[in-house]
Order: sequence, then structure tokens, then C-alpha cells
Amino acid sequence: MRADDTSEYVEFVSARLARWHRAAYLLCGDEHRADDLVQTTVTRLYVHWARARGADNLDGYVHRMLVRAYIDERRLAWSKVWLMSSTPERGASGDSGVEERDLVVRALAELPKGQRTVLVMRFLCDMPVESVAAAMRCSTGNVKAQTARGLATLRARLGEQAPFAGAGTGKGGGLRE
Amino acid sequence: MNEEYEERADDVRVLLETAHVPPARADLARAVAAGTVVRRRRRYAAVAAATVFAVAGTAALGQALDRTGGGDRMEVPIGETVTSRPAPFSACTVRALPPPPGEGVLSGQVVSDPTGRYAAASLVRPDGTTRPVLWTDGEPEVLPAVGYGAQPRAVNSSGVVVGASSTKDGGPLAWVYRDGRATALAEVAGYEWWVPLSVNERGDVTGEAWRGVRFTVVSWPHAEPLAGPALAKSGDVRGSGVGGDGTVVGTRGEAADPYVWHDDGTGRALQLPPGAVTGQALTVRGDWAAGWVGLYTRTAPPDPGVAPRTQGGEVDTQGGEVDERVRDQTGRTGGGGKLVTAAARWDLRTGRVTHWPERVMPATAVNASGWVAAPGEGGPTVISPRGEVTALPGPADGYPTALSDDNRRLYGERVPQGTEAGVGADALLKQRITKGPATELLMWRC
Repeated sequence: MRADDTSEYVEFVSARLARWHRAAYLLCGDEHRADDLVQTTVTRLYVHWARARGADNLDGYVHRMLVRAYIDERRLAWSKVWLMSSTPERGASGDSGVEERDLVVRALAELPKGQRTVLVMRFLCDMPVESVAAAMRCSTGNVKAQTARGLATLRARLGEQAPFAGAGTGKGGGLRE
Repeated sequence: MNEEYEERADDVRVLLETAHVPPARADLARAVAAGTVVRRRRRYAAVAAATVFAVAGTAALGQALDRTGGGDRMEVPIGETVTSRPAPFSACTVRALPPPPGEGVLSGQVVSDPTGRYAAASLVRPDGTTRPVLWTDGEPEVLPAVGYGAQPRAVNSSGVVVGASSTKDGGPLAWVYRDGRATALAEVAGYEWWVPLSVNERGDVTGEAWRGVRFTVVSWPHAEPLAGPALAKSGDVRGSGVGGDGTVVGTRGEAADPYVWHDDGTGRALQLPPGAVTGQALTVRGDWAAGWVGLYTRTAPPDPGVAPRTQGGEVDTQGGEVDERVRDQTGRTGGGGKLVTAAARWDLRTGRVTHWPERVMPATAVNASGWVAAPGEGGPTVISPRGEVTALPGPADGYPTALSDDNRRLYGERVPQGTEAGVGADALLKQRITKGPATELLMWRC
């Protein structure tokens, strides 16, 4: 890969890392696994960068890689070459060592894996039904059904614990804290 | 019905956007370096790009010890009153491991043998090629090239080095350096990737191979490194460290519980302290493994800036600080628990765990007598088998990765932990990208 391509890759990925990490964390609910998923995804993206950068929808391409990594829970060889043993990023709790799980994260964690995946992919990553279905290797009808069930369950869970004051208004309402 | 639900999903979008998530720790420099290892046919250009990163970091590298280390902290600690026999680690000095003169920048993790005499790491040379380096009592020697992107993974007390590279086609290549010669180890048939992780005193090599989600322990006998290696069934386990006797530590299963197994395929779960929901053994030596555990607590952790620097403090391993913690895999702790990590050590004879709730960074090195070393926000420390904590001199971001059996020598590297005021995740990421694969390696003599 030319140095230009690497710079382009770094620029592209840097701007989106936080977003991918949010998606990964909401998917798996675990700080370290989320880091693993993102690391796997960005490594794989680098390997395929020459091809990926020509994709019509690069963001969608990466989201698909991310959800596949989550579904498959594969540990890629190349990430492991460097991750093995006592690397700083693994296990280290980093800045604060403290993770405050809020209500939404907990409610998501209680959903079945499929429902959680479709909600995060569709409403955080803005993936269309067809793309989610392709990434999850299931039918669009299945994605729609899981979306409906996931939304209903999530709302019911959150509604039990706090008034859904901010629903549809663009604010989280009283749900946080 | 579906459409109706989805029209109103703006509320869920907002919730997903605003949910509190911990900071991201993905490492682009590592992605680039690791991706480079497997990319086929574009190797030379890609390594050159990595070298651009490395060279960009060289200036900062050269100044870093002087600047950040703080002159006084690099010196021998003053004021200790040595009488008959000095306490371990009471008079340590630290210095940067020197690269071979004029050869390039150091990269990767430093490994060491149980005596601490030998250490090994990688050197990225100005032309972009990578060579293994072996230090004997701190004196560097460049080893013969084996494949591409060679990374030493272990060294024994005879100076036999094992490591991993990739082939011309981007495939895995394990090697051993012995008696002045480097030899490739046999391929592991049926697996996508393999890596040697330890070499015992006889020269037998133990490592790990995997294909997709299948992992296995691999043993290459010293006498026939080119014969087909022995494989052990290890199921859903993931290794992170291997002892010289073929003992592998890591995690098992979806919940990633700490686990230990052997090259005959047998294994056992390692204990978690009360309240802990997860943990990982990172490294192993003899009867001891070290790593971290994650626990929920409703009590804020003690100020990490003070506690780790306390010398000789007795640590209550069963913890009074975290009595409130509640074991709960889904995080539904009453009142909103916090997940904190703590350094931990396991006695492999019993599986029993000892953890240090006030040390949020993992224990990253352990020796045969159960001493462990751990990085920390206040600087690296060693912890005695009884729990006494002693600070190591040198830069606060020193990250020890090897501790000799005689407690006289440690090796490690400098790893920014992002704890300095004003240094956010973005700045840290940028710093890592700029530094690229260049690593500053440290040696402590005690």
C-alpha cells in the first residue's frame, strides 16, 4: 500500500472510530470485546483497503464487517499476532477503570442477540433492512420482525424504569442517570 | 405494524446515540502494522509506509526519556538504609534498551528469559525490513532475518529465541534462533495461523494455532523442529500466555472466564474473586499466572494517583473496598454498579486467585516465586507474594512485561495510558499513529 493510501485510511478511520466503537459496545455490552471487535474490523479494513475504498457505500461496507465480526466472534489471526500476551490495550481498564452502564445499555443487553443487532445496525448505523439482512444472513422479513420485537421490548423495559419523557422529541428525556 | 413501530423509532435512535459508552481503545498503528503482516504481494510498499510512521516517531523517541521521565526518577532512589540484605526492588535503576547503532527503530514487545540476562524485540530498519534483536545483559545483537516482519515471542536462558514472521505470500512462519542460526519451524497443517509463544530450557517450543474460532496448542520438539508439531484439543479457549512447561493461560468460553490448560489438552478453570464477573490470565511462569479480573462495585475506586506509589503497603486481598459488589453477568447491579478492573494473580496449583482492587491495570509479568509486576497510573510497581507493593523508578508510563526469577531484572516498554490531564482519546490515538511501530524499551536492574 502506498503511503498516500495509508494516510487516507488513517484519516477515514480516525473520523469514525468513536462511532464504530459505540456500535460495537452496544452490540456486545462489554468494553474489552468492543475494543476487540473494532480492532478486528479496522485491521481487516486495512488489509482490504484498496478494494474497500472503491465501495459505493464505504460506511455500509464497514458496518457490515463490524456486524459480521460480532456475529461470528472470530478472532482474526493478524490481530492476534500483536494482541497476544500482555498487550496494554487488553485487560487494561485505561483512563478511569470505571464503566458506568446506563439504562439503555442494560436494556439492550437483556435483548436477544438478534434483536439487539438489528436495532443497533438499523438505528445507530442507519443500515437499510436489506443490508442488515445480508450482514446477518437472514431474510428481510426476519429483520423487520426482529426490529418490531426489539423496539417493543426495549420500550417496555425502559418504560418500566423511567418515564419515556423524551420519546421522539430528540432528547433522551429522563432516561439517563 | 412493523412500519408503525419503525416510524416512531427516532426515540430509539436518540437513546442509542446518547447511551454512555466507555472510551474507544482501538489502535490504528497496530491495525496498520498487523494488517501489513498478512497483506499479500504489497508487502514492500506497505512496510515502507510503516517505516514512514516509525521515522516520524524517532525524534520524539530519542527525547522521550529525558523529557517525560523526569531526571531524578531515572536515578537510583536515594535515602534507603541498606543494612545486611537489601529488600528486593529497593534500589532499582532503569534505562532504555539501546538499539543496535545506526540500524533503525525498535518495535514490538520485549520478551526476556527467566534469568533476565537475555531480552529480544524487533528492529525496523530504514529500508523497511524487520530483524529480530537479542540483547545479552543489555548489549544488542541483530539476528538473521527470518521471513518478513519478524517478532520474537520468547527466549530461554540459553539465548534460544523463538518468534513469528510471515512468508513471502503472507502466510504464517514460526522460527527458532539457536547457535547462531535461524531455522523455520514446521507448518501446522489444517490451521490458518500459528505462533510460537514459549521455549523451555531444553528448547522445546510451545505455541498456539487457530483456524476461525478453533484454537489449539502446538508443540514443536527441540530435536525435530521440522517434524509435524503435536496438537492438543483445547476447544473454546483462547491463549494469551504460555509457560516454558507447555502451560497455557487465557480465557475460555463466551463469558471469557480465566482458564489454564496444558499441551496434553487437559485444563481447569481459574478462580474469580467474589463479585468478579470476568478475568484473564495474561502471562504464566511456573506455578503462577498473572492478569486481571473485572468486578462490579458501588464504591468508587480509591484515588489511583496515590495508592500505587505507596511502598510496602499491606494489601487486603479480600478487599474491604468492594463489599458492595454483586456478581451479575448482565450488569444489572442494584443502584448502577461500576465495572472496575483489578490486577490479579493465580496460584496454578490450587487455582486460587489474589487480586488487588486498588490496581486497575493488569499484572503483566510474574516470576517463578509469585512476584508480579504491573503498570499503573502512578507508575509501574512490583507486588510481593504477600501483597507488598514497591514502586519502580523511571517513567510513569513504564509497562513491565518480564520479571526475572531472581527479582533482579525487569524489561518493559513505555505505553501512554492517556491519564495525563488534557490528553484525550483522540490525542492519544493521534500520538500512537504518529509513533507508529516505534517502541521505547526499558530495562530495570534491581
